[in-house]
Amino acid sequence: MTDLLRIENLVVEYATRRGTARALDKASIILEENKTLGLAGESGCGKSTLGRAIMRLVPYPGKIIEGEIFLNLDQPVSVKTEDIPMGEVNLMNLDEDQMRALRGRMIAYIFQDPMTSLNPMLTIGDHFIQIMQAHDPEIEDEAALDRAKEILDGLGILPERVTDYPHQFSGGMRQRVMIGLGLALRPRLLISDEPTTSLDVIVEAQILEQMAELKDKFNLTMILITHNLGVLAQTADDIAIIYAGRIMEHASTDALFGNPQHPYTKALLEAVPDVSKPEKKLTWIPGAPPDLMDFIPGCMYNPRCPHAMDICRTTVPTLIKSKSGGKVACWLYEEE
Amino acid sequence: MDNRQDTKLVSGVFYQLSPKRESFQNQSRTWWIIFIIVVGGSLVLLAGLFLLAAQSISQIGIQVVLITFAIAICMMIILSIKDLKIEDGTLTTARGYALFIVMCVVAALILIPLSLVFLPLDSLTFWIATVGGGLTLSFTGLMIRDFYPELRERGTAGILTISGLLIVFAIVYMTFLAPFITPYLPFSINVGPVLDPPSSEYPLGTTALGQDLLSRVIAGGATMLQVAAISVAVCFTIGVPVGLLASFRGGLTDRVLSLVMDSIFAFPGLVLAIAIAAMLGPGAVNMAISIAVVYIPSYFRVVRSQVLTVRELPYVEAAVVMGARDRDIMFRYILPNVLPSAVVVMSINFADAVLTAAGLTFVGLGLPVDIADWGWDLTSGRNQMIVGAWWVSSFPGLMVVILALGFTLAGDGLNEILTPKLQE
Amino acid sequence: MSLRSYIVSRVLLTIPMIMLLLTLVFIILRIVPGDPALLHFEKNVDPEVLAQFRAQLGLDKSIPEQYWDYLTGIFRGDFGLSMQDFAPITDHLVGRFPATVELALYSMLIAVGLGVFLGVKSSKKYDSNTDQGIRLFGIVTYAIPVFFLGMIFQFIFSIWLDWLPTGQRFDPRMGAYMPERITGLYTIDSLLTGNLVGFVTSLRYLILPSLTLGLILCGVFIRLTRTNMLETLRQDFVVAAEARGLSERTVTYGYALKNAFLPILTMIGLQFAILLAGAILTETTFNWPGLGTYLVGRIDHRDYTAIQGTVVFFGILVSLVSLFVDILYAYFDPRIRL
Repeated sequence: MTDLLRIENLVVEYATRRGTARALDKASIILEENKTLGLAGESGCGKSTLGRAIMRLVPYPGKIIEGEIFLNLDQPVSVKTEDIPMGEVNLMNLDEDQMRALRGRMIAYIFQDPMTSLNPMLTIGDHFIQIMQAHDPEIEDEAALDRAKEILDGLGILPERVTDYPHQFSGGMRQRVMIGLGLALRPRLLISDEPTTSLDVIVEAQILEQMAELKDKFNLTMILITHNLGVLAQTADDIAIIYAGRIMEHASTDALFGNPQHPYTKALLEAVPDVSKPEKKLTWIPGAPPDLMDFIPGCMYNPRCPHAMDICRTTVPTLIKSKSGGKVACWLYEEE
Repeated sequence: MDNRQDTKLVSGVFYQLSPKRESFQNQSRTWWIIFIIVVGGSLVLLAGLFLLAAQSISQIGIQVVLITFAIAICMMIILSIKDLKIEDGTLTTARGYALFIVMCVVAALILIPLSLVFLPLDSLTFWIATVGGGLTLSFTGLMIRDFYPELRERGTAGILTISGLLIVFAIVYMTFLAPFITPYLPFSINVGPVLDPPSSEYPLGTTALGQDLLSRVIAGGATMLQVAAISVAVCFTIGVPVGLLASFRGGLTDRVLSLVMDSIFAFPGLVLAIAIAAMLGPGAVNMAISIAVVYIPSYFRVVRSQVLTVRELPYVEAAVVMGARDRDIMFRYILPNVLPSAVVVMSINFADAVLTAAGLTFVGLGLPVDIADWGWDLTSGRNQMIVGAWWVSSFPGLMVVILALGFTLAGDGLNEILTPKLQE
Repeated sequence: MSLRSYIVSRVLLTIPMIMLLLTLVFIILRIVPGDPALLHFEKNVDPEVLAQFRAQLGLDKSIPEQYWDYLTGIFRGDFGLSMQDFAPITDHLVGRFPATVELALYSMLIAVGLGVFLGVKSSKKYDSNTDQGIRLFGIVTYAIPVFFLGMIFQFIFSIWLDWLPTGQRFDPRMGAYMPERITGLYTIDSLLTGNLVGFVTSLRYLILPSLTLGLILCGVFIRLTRTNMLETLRQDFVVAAEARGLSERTVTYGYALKNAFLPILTMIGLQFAILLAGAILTETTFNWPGLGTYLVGRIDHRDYTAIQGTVVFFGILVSLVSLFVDILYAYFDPRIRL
């Protein structure tokens, strides 16, 4: 298996009036082809920022300070300025035109709220035409529309509805349209940012199932960003737990749920209800996530960690191999 | 620090890193430069003021200016002491204000007889000039002392507000002092040659009637400020209560009032003002009334839509459920939320009133000739411009622009501060 | 709601508005002042002359009768008789209307074009020096009295540089090239008849007035475009479009501006009232023979019936324009169009 995506020491900062917030601090991730990586963490921990950073679309006033993002292309991509060769490319070295050619073509992004992520002034068909023509100026409107109908049909939406406007669709259908738009050009990597959070539970299940099918069909690699560990347990192959901009633990789903290493992961899992064990006592994590403006020396989790040691308050732990087979950033395992 | 920790606890586990609103307004260097220009400009104005006062026709210019400064300094000192005492806890707020008023009266009682003894005067003008000028100065000082640190936090918007208000206060102050600092009487004709270009004798030149333009520029703001102040006062006192009433009563009252206001609002403002002013005849008050009629709907609409929004807010509904009286709901729950928008409309209204007043004068519905008025000079200068005498209308025109700009800047800034649209 | 029923309901709403407006003008100009005929003559006047004067204008009737005559007259397109020469006001209004329309049209083009362009630029470079500069420009243009700007332009371009005429609509010495009246808009008429000299001449006369008015109005459009664009640019669907790799131009103009444009369109309707007000002052500055100069001229003559007629005409004009803009809005917004 080859690595499709490799992120090394990615740092993203938000320059606000109150000061600089480090939303991502030296995040490193390796994602194998055809796998699904789940990014989990509390709101504001930087998981969406990580997703956006891969597209190099960090929202204002955020900025990628340093780090490398390598994407493995299976074919060259032609750009009017300078073509991108096949093989592993560092996204940080691409210019804006080259990056734009990759967006939608190689990497697709699905947003949290389907109600607001479609242009209210355009028909669904226009959305498809635009994305196809953006990457292939030669394609005719009719051909693009035919392709759009095909995709919509595959997603269980009547093909005639290409002429409808977004407001004529329900939330679940819009999210399907978003998925269809994302997959229109058969990208290699699909990043979905909490794709089902704003949908009701039944639609959520349908969409997740559909995404799993599509992943197999299109040979996709996926990054699924969510705060819902239940969703990840069903869909993800690997899970990375992020806390205050740092990756705390990165392991296969089974290992993470069966044998969590990091105290934070353990605490998170203890806070999730389990239907099969109604006697399970839910706990919560004392304290609150740190204010990213106030820099905490050492491990970001140390003020809330029951196992905090002296070294935790002074030195940042690095990601090391853990005994569950994954990686963990915690001083508890450093010596072993 | 502890406090902040607490609020974080309350906000729970899902604490959000939302980029703060302020981050979108990091003040850039340009704005600082502009701000420095404004402050520097004010200082230059002050220097010019003393120079003028020294050469004024009234002979007592310097004394008058100094008295206003004395009043302002006294006010500032008294207020500072009051604030300190209240902070200490030795005074309650209410008593603090009572004491402040008493001290003001005492200060006035000491200052005025003193000045009466030492200065020969024509008393009413003198009183208006010194007390008005002094109060304006102390307001300026207070504004800088109390609001500047807070407004600076708001970035660009705060700086806009401050510079706008500074401009306005400077012009108000100049207008108060005008009778004592002009080098010639603004309305007396043939003080110099006709249409003399700017020279050391007549720094801004002379008009077609041989009046000194500098004196007219200094004194000419009075009409516009009066018109603006009266019209804004009328608009505010009618527009806001009517808007409150309509939206609170609802039903037929609301529909009829809304329809009337909407039709006035849709009307070209200046056309209506011209029609009314043409009927009422010339005069500052008539001008003010005709402008006021045009702008009442702006207040009405803003207040009404605000009330309709605020009324639906949970805390107001909670108050209704708990059986609060209508009066309390209106004045304690709704009005405070409506006022900021009304204040924003007010500052824009000021600018519009100044511009409309100039426009009315321009179409021939202004004041009689013998009163110094920027609008009048601007209009009459139009004919002289064709023969090359650019100064006659340029300087009064510039003053109108500066005054309107002051109000507009303040309005723009207040708009962003009080009714933020781009909140994250 | 279908587009048709929307239009019908909007038209039905306009009728009471116009009625109210007519009544309002009648109250302000006919009832409040008491007797406009007396106001017309500054000094005491022979009662017989006065009575005859009143009879000629229909001012001797009772107020309700006058009101009725006034309303029915307007619905017939009759705006009354002038106090000056007892000629129908309608003729004057119709004759001068195209001049005002031409000025308004070109000013609006300049204002919207420049305003939207600068507003988009400003919002895309949010909080940069460009942004602040454009904002300041918008504020300053708002604070300049339109006739003062006109005078400055006159002084610089006509008197000092002698490039453009100071006023009027056409060169009287070039009467031979005067465009034939088809629409009444000189630029369009001259183009229609292939009269190129006439076109250039009328354009030369049009530049300064329309630039003056356009600049004054563009501040509002800058501000409006900027706020709406800032709001739209931050919406998910714009970011989603970027994430799909659409070109920057498509995203800015096809996505953001297209969505931000509806509020701007509404504003064009509202600004039309301000445009007309500005047009009065601009016309007076440049001696532009439109409705504005007519109104100001009538004021000088204390011709109250003519003032009333012109004011009513302006009011109806604005109501109809805002009706038109609202229908356009409905047409462009798919959420209403359905």
